[in-house]
Amino acid sequence: MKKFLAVTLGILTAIGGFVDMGDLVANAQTGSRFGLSLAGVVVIGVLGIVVFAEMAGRVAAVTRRAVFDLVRERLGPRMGLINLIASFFINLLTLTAEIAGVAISVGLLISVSYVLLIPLAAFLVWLVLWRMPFEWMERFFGLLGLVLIVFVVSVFKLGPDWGDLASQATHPAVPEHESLATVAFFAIALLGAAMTPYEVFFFSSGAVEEHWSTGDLNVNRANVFIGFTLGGVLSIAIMACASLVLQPADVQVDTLPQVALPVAVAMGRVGLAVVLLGIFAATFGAALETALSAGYSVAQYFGWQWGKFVKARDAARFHVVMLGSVVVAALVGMTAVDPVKVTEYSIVLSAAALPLTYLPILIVANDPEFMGDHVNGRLANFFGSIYLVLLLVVSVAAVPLIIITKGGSG
Amino acid sequence: MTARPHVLYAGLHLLDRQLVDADGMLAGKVDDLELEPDGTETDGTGPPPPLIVRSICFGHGALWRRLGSGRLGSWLEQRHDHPRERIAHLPLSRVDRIGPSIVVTARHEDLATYDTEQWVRDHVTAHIKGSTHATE
Repeated sequence: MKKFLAVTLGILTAIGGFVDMGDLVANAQTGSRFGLSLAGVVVIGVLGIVVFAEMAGRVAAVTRRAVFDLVRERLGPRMGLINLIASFFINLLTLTAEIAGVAISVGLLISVSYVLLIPLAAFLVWLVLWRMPFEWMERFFGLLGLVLIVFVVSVFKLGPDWGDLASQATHPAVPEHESLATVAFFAIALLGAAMTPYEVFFFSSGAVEEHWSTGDLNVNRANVFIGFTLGGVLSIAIMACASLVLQPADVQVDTLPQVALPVAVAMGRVGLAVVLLGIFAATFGAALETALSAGYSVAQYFGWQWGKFVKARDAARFHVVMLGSVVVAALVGMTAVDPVKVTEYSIVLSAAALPLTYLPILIVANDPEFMGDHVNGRLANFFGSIYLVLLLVVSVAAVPLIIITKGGSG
Repeated sequence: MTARPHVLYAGLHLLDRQLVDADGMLAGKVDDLELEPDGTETDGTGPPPPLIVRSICFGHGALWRRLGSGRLGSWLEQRHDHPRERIAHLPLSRVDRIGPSIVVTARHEDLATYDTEQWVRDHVTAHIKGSTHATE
């Protein structure tokens, strides 16, 4: 019974923790522009993160080694360093966007300009990182993030033509006033939002933080297969809400409150309050995860002691990297850069950097010397290989598409 | 748990692997290896004698050398040569276990990789309230 509760709690946390600023923005934007015609990309993205997070969690449970540890070992110091610099930069962009998301959601609730709230949001993020135990932190924000189910409820409340939604989702097409490049740009954004590298850095390091062993492989599978899949359902609900309310009104999403608008239309003030709470929890949780990932990746590259499972004084460099990242992200956010643009760039660049992170995971998950009986099965390798090819194509196309479409605005 | 390989490939099984000290603390990476001829006599006409791993090297000096900046690497390493400084390499005999991590019979505080940790601890984290509390 206790085991069952722990597994359930893990799944709920995984669902609530799945959505972040990138998912909120990318799904609402594509919903408002293309209806549900890109919903299939979300499915592809969610399956991709399921495949690689399961491998990364399994490797961490069996060997106690997290993803960036493997990156350095399998890519060598030079390629590993290039990956570290790229991932760290993307992580900082994501952290900037998440902290802005926290400030915006609180700012709407108390009617204060979000830029003024950024220092406070950043300080709270850092305080939680410095003092709150890992499991409490993960569970509190994960469970609070579950209120985003309000997007699913809203879809029902809006009373859509289900046949029409289904036909949009199963007939992807380029709308007449949009170019193929623009559609491709947003497809990559959706993929990047679902599969951001920080998710596997965080998930695998979290497995080590929680002292997973081979006995926890079932928990790993349950969290990933059920939790992440249901998290993907939330993503599609956000897209559906935008397509039902914003697309007919010809509203294009370029601010975070517009993401919440359909819920307000469907469910009134209470709905709006709940969705803002959900956005707060999702972005706060993701700010913690990205800041931790900044620390994890640097510390694991150099072999420093890391983790919240030791006292802060015993992992001083790790904590200072996190503190520095939060400060830089807050300073960038306070220049009033457009948080939605920052989010877009962070997820498209994430997609570009994915192969460098996922290749080492696939290699190590196949190494019997590391994994013993827990090496990849045929299914994991089949999907792992297909995704690596797909991600290589995406990686080559991402930056040219940013230029051609002027960051999706073309 | 993991089957021990019959043959160890120094480049594959040692290089860039996580170092763990005697107390289980993470203590840096195997940043480089020191090799030497295995001592067999040759008359100078045959193939050169095989190389054996004498010690594992770690710390920023060794890492910079592998990253391609030999001069910066040597300078960083010389800073560890002072007798009272921490050590930047360990003989293979001090390696206790070679697995997913490399376990050594040393304490992380005695290794060169601890220099920056101590500096950051003394100059930054020690000044923030709560650094000695475990968060778990």
